[in-house]
Amino acid sequence: MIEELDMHILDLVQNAIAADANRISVEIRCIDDQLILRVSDDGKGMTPEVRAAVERGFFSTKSPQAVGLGIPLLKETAEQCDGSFSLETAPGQGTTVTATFRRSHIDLPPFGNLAATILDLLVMCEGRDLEVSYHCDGRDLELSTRELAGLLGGVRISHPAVIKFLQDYLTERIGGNVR
Amino acid sequence: MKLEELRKIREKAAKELTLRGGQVRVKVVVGMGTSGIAAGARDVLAAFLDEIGKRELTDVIVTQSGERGLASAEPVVEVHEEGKPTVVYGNVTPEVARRIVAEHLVNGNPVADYVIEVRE
Repeated sequence: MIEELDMHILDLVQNAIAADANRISVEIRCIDDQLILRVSDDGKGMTPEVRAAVERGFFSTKSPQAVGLGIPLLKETAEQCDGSFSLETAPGQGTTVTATFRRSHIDLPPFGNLAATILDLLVMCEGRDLEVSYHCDGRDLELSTRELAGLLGGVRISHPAVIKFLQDYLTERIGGNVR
Repeated sequence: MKLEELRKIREKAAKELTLRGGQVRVKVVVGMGTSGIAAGARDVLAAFLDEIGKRELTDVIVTQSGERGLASAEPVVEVHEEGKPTVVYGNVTPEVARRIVAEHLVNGNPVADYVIEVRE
């Protein structure tokens, strides 16, 4: 199902979109042996009942076919990797999910194709305010849909020439294969 | 690479837009949820972009969305065409994507074998 960390990030951002968020921030940071993933949004948030159901698993409002295991799996993986998990939310107050991991833990999943996933997020969040921040192993990236919209005028992020450019740009900045 | 290079791309894209009078005839939406990506949606998107670029179909835009709710048929692709019903394709591979461009977008004949839904 979700075996790589980039798919968890994608899942969390899709949760934010499903919560009608306008501002979404994705933070990936490495501090010594710790990896911190944080996704915050200003969406509709969750009541304590919904939050409890989400944490138990097999609960989703995204679509009838959604499985509803994204959050429980992320929590399990973080805790298994000597890390922590927190979900802060309240109705009307948005949601912040933070997961930490010990990087040297043998069970730490790979990032997958992080550059490609960030590109997917940018395309998916066009029209919303998405900020992505990545700081790991001397590689740094700060990028937002707002900044891209400013540079692109009316041209869409999904324009083939823009996609091509961002693939190369993201690969150069954070490494890995894009698509 | 500098992000500012996007300004050049913008100028070029704006010129293309003027050439075709700003008309978008067809919108192709590739479902890119976690299950779609696991099923190969990224390769499908790349095939669409490549084939549309090769054929210089400047009145077609390709975009992507989150979960479409049809995980059993992913990758899922929707074709929205002005004044026509929306055609939803399932189990799309890069080869099928190229067929959709040639047969549906260019010649107007949907690739029937892969159509899973038609929405008015």
